Amino acid sequence: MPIYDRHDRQELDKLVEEYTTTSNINRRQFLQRAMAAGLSVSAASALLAACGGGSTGTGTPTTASSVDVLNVWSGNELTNFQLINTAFKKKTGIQINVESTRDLPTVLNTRVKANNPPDVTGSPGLSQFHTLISQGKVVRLDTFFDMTQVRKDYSQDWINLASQNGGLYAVLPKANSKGTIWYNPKAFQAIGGTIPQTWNDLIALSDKIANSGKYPWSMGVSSGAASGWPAADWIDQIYMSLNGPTMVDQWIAHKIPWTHSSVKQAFQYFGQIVNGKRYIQGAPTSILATGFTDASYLPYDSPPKAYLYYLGDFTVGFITAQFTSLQAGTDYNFIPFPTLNPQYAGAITGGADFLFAMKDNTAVREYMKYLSTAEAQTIWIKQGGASSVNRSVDLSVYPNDVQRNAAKQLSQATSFRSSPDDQMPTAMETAFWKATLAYIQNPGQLDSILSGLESTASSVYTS
Amino acid sequence: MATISQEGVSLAVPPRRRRMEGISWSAWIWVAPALLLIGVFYIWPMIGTIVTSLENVDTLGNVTGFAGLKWYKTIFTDPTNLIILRNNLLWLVVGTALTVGLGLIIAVLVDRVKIERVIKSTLFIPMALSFVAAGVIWRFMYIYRPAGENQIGLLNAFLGLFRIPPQAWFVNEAVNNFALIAIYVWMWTGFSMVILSAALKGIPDEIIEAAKMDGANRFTMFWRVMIPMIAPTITVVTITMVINILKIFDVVYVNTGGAFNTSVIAQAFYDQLFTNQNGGFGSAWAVVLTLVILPVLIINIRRIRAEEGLR
Repeated sequence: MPIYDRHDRQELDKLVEEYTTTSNINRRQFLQRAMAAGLSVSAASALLAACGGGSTGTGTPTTASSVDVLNVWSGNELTNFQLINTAFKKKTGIQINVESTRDLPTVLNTRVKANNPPDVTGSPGLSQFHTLISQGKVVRLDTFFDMTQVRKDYSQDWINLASQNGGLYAVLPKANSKGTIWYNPKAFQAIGGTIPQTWNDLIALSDKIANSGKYPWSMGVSSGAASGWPAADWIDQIYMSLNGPTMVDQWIAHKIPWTHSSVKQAFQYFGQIVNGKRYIQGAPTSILATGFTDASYLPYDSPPKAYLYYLGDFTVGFITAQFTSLQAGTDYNFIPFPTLNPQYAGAITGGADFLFAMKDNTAVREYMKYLSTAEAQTIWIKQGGASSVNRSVDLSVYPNDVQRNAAKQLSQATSFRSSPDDQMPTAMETAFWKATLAYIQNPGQLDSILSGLESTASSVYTS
Repeated sequence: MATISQEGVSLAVPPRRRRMEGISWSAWIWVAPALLLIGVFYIWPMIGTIVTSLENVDTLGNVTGFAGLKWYKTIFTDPTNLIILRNNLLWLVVGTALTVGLGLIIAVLVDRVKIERVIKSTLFIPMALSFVAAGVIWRFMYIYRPAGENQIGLLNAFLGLFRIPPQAWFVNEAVNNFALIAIYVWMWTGFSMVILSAALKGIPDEIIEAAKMDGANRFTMFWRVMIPMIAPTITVVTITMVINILKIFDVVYVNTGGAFNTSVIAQAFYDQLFTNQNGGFGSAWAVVLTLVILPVLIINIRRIRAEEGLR
């Protein structure tokens, strides 16, 4: 076994680094340089193949007969996802092995650092997705996707969300609107409620219910280590409705400081719901101590313990799992988030599930192509609890009107942004979540909470 | 018989003090594997951690510059971080006192009771559970519903009997740290109890009887005979608990994730390293944790040496 001298070894390390993180060199140059550093032809090609998970995605991929997928789905979501995988196996014979974890960022991070990434993974969050792309750890898809079909299937907003520097890196198997306020239509009619169109309508409705001695709202933000995210979703949507997508982008990029009046205003609007003491039973303690799923049940108890509950369209899943006999449309439905600023009526936030590939082989390519098709996404949509952003998915396959309307809200949104907190660096996102908890506890401290966030931001965004 | 065997024992003990100059190169070969392993798995990573704690590291893991003592300054000046240090201290004092104290009291109380085995087994069972399982069980104990609702959590239902309003145990900052410590105490008291109980059984009957003949009452017996006799065991159990508690993580992570001012050093370390991907800050927390545990380890080693010297 030949022993390389130190210099050659460094040369190779540099080459691998350059090849996997940038796209400055092609395969030919790579082989030449590797051989110049003392490798044989076969050793150089083996090295190139080993780096094949890098960013170019050109050339002949290695063959494989199974794909390992890491994601966060469990329960119902996992069952539906497995339906897609079964259909894929029937079609291609490729076996999909799913590993599910609730702590995806940590698991993924550890595996990437150990140079043992999964073939395909769910996204640990947008900021980490972008980080991984710039590290050259994500397989670029547009080099082997039929991009004409992709452009036909997905609107530019969605393609942008899954892209970086002009390359497509992820497929979006499903998406969620977060412009939905859930209610129980029967109970709502019984108290003579009317669908609010504007924020003032919403507050008037809440006051009306509160004055009749009932609790208009239900809210729960507890979610273990991620506690606070449902409140951040609230503030995200309020900010979007008030200020529109351009300012949302600036807020995410920290071009607008946390101490800016627009951020304060969004917190205060949220505060109108939280601090209306007669709005939520046991507030503020109950908000902090109640899980977001438990809180979603209250409007459907008999008699109802609350009338309105805000959270994304995935709330359908909680409601139908808890109350199996409820009918969509008559027993549960959603109110589109009211207009706060007429200029941005119909502007909604939401979330999309990402799947991206970290190893390049024939099986992974087949699988990624399949996941982005309307055919695959229809399988999940039929089961309910998700919307597809693939325009070729027929609206008639949604199991009921509620799901169809949620999907329409997404596809017909005047503007759409993925939840701002999800797009911020993770340290900022968790600080934002913690800040919402502090605000719910002590609304009077808003100014110091926001300046705390600003000082977090100044260290997070510079480093 | 007895005299002969005692002589035999004393003969078997090798002469204790040997001169250092006798150590030959062959001795180094024998200790080399151990030194190598310690070097690779302890010393080297530790030095690496200390170096990283003085650096700025971006989320990709690349060093972006020298930070000096910036992270340490943040730990010891930032109010939220000071609360984390305070929480660890609270855990240390209350958690250790309760696990060792309760363990000792229970060990003495169940000694020579008929159902001793049943009680000991029952108290020991929580040890066999994972912290996650314990977290789920205690969630049911602590569940909170707004006043006026049916309280399905055991503790709040109990408070309801006395018409005391329900408490959100993990949210209310006056009690949440103690609520978490209670879970740890529930899990580890059994461990202290079993070990202390074994030590109590090891006290020779002659001594107990002699004390009784001398007219010692139960309290004198406990304080003047039992405690001194099992003092080395108490020290061992205490040190085990102290180390355990200083690096406490699971209980906090599972139940509150460090929210509402319940974070501890290990949780902060996890948050910075894994959630925020801030290697420098995370390493600084790890170094602080090591520095805090170090004196305990030194005390422990001194104690072991002293015990060996006694033989």
